[in-house]
Amino acid sequence: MSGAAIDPITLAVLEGSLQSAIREMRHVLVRSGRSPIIAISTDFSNSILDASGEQVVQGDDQPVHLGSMQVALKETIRFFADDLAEGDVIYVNDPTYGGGHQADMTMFKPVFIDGDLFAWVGNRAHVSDSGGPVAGGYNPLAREIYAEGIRMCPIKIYERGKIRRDLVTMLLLNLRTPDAHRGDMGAQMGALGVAERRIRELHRSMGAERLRAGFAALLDRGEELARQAIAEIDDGTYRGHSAMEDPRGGPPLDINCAIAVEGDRIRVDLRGSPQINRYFNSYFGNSISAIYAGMLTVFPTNIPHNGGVYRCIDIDLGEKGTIVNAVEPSPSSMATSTPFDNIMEAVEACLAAAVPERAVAGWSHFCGSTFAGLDTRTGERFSHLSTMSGIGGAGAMWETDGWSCCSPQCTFGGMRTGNVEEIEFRIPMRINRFELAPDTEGPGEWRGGFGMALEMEPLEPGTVVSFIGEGLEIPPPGRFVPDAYDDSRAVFSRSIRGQDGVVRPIVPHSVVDLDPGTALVSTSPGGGGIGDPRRRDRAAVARDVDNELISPERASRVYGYEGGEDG
Amino acid sequence: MAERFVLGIDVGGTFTDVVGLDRGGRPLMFKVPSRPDDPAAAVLQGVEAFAAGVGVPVESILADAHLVHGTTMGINTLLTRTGARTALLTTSGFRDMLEIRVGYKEERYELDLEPPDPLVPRRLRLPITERVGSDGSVVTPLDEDGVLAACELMASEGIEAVAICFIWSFLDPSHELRAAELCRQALPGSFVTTSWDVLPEIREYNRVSTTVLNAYVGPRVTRYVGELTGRLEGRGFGGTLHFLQSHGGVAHADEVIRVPVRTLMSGPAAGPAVAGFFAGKAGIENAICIDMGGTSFDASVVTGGTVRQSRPVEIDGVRIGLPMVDVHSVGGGGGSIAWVDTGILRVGPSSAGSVPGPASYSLGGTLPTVTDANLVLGVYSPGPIAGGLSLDGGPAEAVIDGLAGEIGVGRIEAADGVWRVLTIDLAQAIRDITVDEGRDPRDYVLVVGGGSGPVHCCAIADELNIDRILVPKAASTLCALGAIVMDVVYELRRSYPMQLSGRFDVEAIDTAFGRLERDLIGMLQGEGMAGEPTAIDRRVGLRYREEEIHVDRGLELRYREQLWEIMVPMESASIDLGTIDDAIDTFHERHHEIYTYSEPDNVCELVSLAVRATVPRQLPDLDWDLGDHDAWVQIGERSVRHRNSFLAAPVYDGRKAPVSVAVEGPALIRESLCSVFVEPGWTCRLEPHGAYLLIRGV
Repeated sequence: MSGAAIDPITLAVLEGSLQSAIREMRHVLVRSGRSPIIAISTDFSNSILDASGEQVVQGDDQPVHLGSMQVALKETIRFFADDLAEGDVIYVNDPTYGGGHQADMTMFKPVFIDGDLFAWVGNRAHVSDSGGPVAGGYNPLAREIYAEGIRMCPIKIYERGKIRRDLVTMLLLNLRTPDAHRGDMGAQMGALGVAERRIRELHRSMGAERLRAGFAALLDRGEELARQAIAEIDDGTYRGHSAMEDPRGGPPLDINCAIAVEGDRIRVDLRGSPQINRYFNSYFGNSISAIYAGMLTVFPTNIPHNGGVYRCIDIDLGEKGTIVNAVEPSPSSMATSTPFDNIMEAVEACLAAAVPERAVAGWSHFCGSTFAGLDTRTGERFSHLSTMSGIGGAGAMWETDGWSCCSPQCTFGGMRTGNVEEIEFRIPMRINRFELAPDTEGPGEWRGGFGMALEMEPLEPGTVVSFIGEGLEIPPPGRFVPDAYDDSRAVFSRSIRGQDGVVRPIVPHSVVDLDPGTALVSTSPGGGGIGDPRRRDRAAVARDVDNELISPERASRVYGYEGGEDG
Repeated sequence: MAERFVLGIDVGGTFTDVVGLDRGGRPLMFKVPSRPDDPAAAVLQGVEAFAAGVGVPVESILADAHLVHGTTMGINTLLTRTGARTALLTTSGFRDMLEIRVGYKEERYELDLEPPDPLVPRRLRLPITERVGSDGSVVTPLDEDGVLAACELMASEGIEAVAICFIWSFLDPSHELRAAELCRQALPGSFVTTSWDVLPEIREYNRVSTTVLNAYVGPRVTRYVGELTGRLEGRGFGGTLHFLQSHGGVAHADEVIRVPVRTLMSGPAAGPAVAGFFAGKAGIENAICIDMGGTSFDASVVTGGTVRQSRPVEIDGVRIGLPMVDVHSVGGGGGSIAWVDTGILRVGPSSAGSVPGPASYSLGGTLPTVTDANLVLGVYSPGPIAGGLSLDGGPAEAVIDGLAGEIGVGRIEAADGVWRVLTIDLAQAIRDITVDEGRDPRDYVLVVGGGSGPVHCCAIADELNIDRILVPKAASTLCALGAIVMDVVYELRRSYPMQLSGRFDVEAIDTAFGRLERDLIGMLQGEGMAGEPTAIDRRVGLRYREEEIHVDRGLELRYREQLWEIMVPMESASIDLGTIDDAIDTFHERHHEIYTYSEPDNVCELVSLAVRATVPRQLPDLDWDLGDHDAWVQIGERSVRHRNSFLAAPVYDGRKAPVSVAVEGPALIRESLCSVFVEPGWTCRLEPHGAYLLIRGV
């Protein structure tokens, strides 16, 4: 395959056409996806891949899906080998086949032209429910992956254009929200249809050979851009560490990362503590994705997210059986945020040493709640993963404060909380408070964004709430913040206010029933800061004090600001 | 009607354009310099220019004139952040809705993007104890003392505008309305606005942001309306003053004073309206309007006579929930710079602008632009152009040679590549606003405006397989004309979220529609546009005295669990289970058109009701002064690149074009401010309604 044969004009035409297809796929999913997490939170990614499974283009969708689509596709190709035909549609979610967690459902369709497998189109979407004992798929009580919902190896839901009603029905029987799921599958199929049509058009207009060469040239171009960026980093080995809270209550677990830069190549060695029998284990596909996402800070913003870029990064996840290279029967339903965010932090810690001017401070992790029960207004069961309950602040970079109320790094702020009114219309809960939580920012010359204060009360008796996630003990790390001032203790705090008015803290990773008259009361952490808070612009500190975001006491103690100054 | 003078006035950054019809229906166009310090003065100056043009005293024109005004004041106030000192009253517990933006960061891969800076800082976002529940019942009564305390604080802060937005207020606005009353009493002279008045619909973020923006631009815009009215009255004005609205119609000045934020896209909103006008004259219902100048390419869509709207939209980081004409703008014009981005040729988005401009202007431009490529391809000829500029072939060839060297092809191939890449980008901009709704561009006519549009339109149409193009003779001042052809449109929407399953309340929907319609007609009556109804027949429109008002009704529907909705028309006069079922059937069909699937067995949810009153503009037939020519007059010949060869293209004088006589491409038609490039495979003829009609493959 030679990319050299493709001139810049033809390549522009091809790239424009593929990007246009990806945009159309995204549109179909956003507008017609039925799970709220697809439609509001846009938790999905679209991809066009070559016949070998290398990703040619991915929409700028979820960071948590970066690169992992091609990992899952290569597993799929291995699984079916020659047993693929025109009209097949494949569905897969299992972490041992390159999935992130079971709630991420990936659909692939081989594009056959003149009898040959020419390319693949695919998308991965986070659905409302994936079955198992806990609605929404996050099961804090799971000790094994078998308790985290239905597991699918690559299965054909369509075989030679004919639906496998038996398999699809079996799948839907395992889910709490079959109608919404059927809608999501329809939306995913619709998006694949759009991309397939576009590839066929290109094939007609360019011919097989030139289109294939065009795919290769786009991959080569991604590789070249990545190599240029890597070459600018000083050679050397940089080490970083991050800690992950142990949901069993033990001391924090370790993730260690070493990044070796040599010329225009990067090698990433990731090591983790032994895997645990709780839902914070990451299988290989998810860990690879987290490494790619962490690496983005050193690449230019406009780098294509394709297989060519990934060629320049050699990854070694160490021996199997760790929290970053898990094997059965480890549960992993939280993996796409924990340890995804922790892995990104370990990579970023290395890069902060390698390229300090591009350093990123830590972001709030995800630590949220899922509400489920019976809605007597409609007589139907509901299940709702609350983004509102899990969202905090983003980390700072040099020259810019972090964003407040910004979904975790595994999404780069791309998840929506939804509107209070939409949520109250959809589920029988009342939200009494959702606003910025003062004094939660990580201090710095550039401070982190603020976390959130939330209060929600159920309107139906027996509303089941499961509490999930991480960030209850370890605050998002600052970077280059002198220890003396790095007093950020902002972590998630969650309690239940009982009918007696007494507020009681929640046992982490638990499932409880709530009744009307009680309320979930929570605060999320802000993001980490960067640099010395005493060097922060005085007018900026004054503005935060004025806006009641930083208390005068904290302004004085941490920022050395005594009021009345304006720089 | 024909006795009245009709004047369209478009105030832009540089020029204030006035297009007026004389008594014979002949459009006269004038440009006067804008006066940012005193925009009303430029408007009066434009009216004076028109008066001189038709030879009638200003006072006689103004005595009964119909003025239609587009203004950029609202958008400029937002973009320059020079609006009123604004405070916000919100439900306690939700002080930061503006700042948290439903948690969303649009450009997520721009890691070092600055966090947003809301129009109202936190200290002026004042929480008020009150709460309405999701069923419309009062959970917590309004704390009036809290409102009064907030008023004291606002008074001490010198607040000029107050926005009030409470949770679920569209189901029960009493708290908002009472708080507004208290604010008006306590802060006389301030601009007080509620979300109930601006956008009574579900989704508090859209509502609060739009209401705040209304407050922010309100004082300045309403002051201007008052100022202009005063000055006009000083010159004997006794006619009507209408303003262009973002939704693509015009409305009375009183409506602007009520909800000033509706004028935000007042200028560009005229594009699709004027496209629809010309398409309509040609008997075509579907039109795509493109307006392409030196730096940007604006595209908008009219389908079945209805202008495509979008919402919510974000302008400069501010969310606006009101429906607006969807004008999709991308970088792409004569000044767009071609460059190689690691193996890929790109055109734009940077532009050489007018200074230094394309290399061929010889004003110091050193980068290859679209204009330079056009010169190399023979589409443009060297020599003087509008604005006192001149095109020079030497510098154009030099910069295109530089690009060719970088790509590794010859000069002509490089210029041709620039043309192709630009064509694909512009075609994509059109796909973005058609294909996403399941529309096929082939079902549309392309209506072309701007200085560069008439040259590139055949290529864009070829790329999209569009086979008809209209290029109005007034292409270079397309939007200015829009103001006088736009209909009067009033629209009200209100959310009534409910599931349309089981025993849903049909009567409630009927009652709600009735109330909305009454409010709408009340507004029209209040503004002198409707008397008492003499007959009501929804199928033909309501008839009010001599004016005809069409009232359309629509339902916004979605499937359960879905979070976006589709507006479907309510076709029938009566509202009952049967007619709502019909609307639901239409929804399934529309859903299938847009998303390739539908779910007829699934439950639908009603989100909002909408009523829209249209008073069609009564215009005399426009007289384009086409003269009486019976053959094309050739004034030259040019060698123009097409595919792999150069063809000889005759150049014709557009000012002497014969009506309804076809000419085959390749041909160039020279108009006073632009040229139309008729490519091979196309024919062109001038239509009696003042536009060239290009047809492919004849």
